[in-house]
Amino acid sequence: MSRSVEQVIERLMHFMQSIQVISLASVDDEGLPYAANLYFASDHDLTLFFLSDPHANHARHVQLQPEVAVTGFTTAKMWQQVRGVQIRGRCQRLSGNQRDAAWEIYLAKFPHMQEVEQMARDCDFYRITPWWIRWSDNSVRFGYKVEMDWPDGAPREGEPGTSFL
Amino acid sequence: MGDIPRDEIERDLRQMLASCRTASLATLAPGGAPHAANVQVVADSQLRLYWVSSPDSAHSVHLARDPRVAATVYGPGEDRPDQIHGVQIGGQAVAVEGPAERERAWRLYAQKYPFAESPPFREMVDRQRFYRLTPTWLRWIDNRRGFGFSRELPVAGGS
Repeated sequence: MSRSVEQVIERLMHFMQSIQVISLASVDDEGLPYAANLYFASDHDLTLFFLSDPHANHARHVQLQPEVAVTGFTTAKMWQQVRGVQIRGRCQRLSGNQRDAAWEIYLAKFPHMQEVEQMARDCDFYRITPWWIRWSDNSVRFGYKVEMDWPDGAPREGEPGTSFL
Repeated sequence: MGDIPRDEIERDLRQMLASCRTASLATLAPGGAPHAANVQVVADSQLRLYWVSSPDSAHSVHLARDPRVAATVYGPGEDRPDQIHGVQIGGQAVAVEGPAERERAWRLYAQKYPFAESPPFREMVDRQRFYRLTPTWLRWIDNRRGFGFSRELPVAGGS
């Protein structure tokens, strides 16, 4: 792995730790797109975890169609600070030991959730395993983008100056 | 909580849309899988969202093929559960056509984002296209009114 690849991934990891909310895009049983904002935590493989009522629309959707897409972004006031991520991946409901492991990752990011553990017990954990990631970072330069097939693809830089995000 | 008038909810929604920049736009990729992209939006008086994108970007290609989209926007305070507020949208998105509509979109956009008037932004906008999302469905979520508060808002022409 080249140094630049390591730098890209390090910045991306740091970014994912720094944001709390993702928008999850799913598809309903009629094929319509649906989007929902969710709190999430991520691990060192950029696997994402979220907690949800299994009856929520997005939770029902991923049971039928596990292919999902995600965005996250910083709520920056200055365009120079704008950073964002796009992800495509597969979503799966967790149980047993996998659920327990997800809870630990989630608690590390949101320690206050310990206080509502009983309520969380009524919810399910879901895991998003990315297969494609695009990272945008105006703090590198205006319109900087890099994308990669995850986890093993080589980063490819996009055409500069094509978007604010 | 159920007695809150619709115009009060709409006021909160409009305030958020006026102050927040980013929407997550969900489109349908070929084959029907979802795709999501961040876009910088401005809303008009009918709660339609406008943004600027390259017609070659994936989400623009998708909506040209299938205009059915969804979006989310959320307001500041996401680090405090009691401050969570945001909107879920379903609707149709199209490229803005014609000089009059494009000029209208540009005026809305430049009013919210004055920096777009100056290079390199103006050059970028001129190279790209405006797109418009017309909601057919809206759900407003606002924990500031009580944990779990949500309200679906009927939209003209929506189902």
